[in-house]
Amino acid sequence: MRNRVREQRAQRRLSQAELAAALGVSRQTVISIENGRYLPSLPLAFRIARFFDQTVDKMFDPDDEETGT
Amino acid sequence: MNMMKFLPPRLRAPVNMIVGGSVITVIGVILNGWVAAAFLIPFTIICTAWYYVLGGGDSDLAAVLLGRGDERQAYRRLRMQALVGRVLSLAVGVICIAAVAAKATLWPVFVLVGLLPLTILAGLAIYREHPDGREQQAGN
Repeated sequence: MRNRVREQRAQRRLSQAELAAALGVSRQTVISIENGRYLPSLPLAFRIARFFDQTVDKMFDPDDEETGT
Repeated sequence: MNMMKFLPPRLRAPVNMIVGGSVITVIGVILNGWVAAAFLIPFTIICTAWYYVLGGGDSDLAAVLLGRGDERQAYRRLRMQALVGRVLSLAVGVICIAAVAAKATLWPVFVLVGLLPLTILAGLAIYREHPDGREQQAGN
C-alpha cells in the first residue's frame, strides 16, 4: 500500500522527528510508514490524515499492493 | 531541591540504578558479608551500563525491551512474546519426552503441559472482543 506521508511531510518541511512528535509515535515508526514497511492502525491513519488536512484515502492508496506489514 | 533536574534525562535512570544498587549492596554486605558485594557490585554496574546503552538509544530495541513505545513497537513486542511462547511450548514438549525417556518424576512436567491449554483458555477469556467495540491496542 502506497502512502503520501513522505510527500506531505516534505511539502511542510518537517523532519521525521517533528512529525513523529506531532503524531505521538516514534521516529522509527514514521520511517517505517514512509517506506511502506508498516501499515498504521486505523486511529493512527486518521491522525496522520488529519494532521495533513487530508482524507485517509488520499493519504493511503489501497490499490497499490507493493508493500505491507 | 531535586538533584535529578540537573542531570540529563538519559542519566537519571542509570543514576537511580547506581544509588539503588549501592543501597542493596550495602544491605547485602551487612547481612551476608563481602561475598555479596562480589556479586552485587558487578551486577549493578552491568545493569546500569546495559540500561544506559539500551534505554538511551533511539531504537526499536530500546522501546521493545523497556516496554514503552508506540503501536508499531507494541505490535513487535507482542510478536516477540508470541515467538517466546511458541519456543517455550516446544521446549515443554521436548522436556516431556526427555522426562518420560529418563523415567524422571513426571508430575512437574504434566503441570507445565497442563498450563498450555489453560493459558489458551485464559487468553480466550481475557482477550475476548468487547461488545461495545472498545478498541484493543497491541500489547495491552
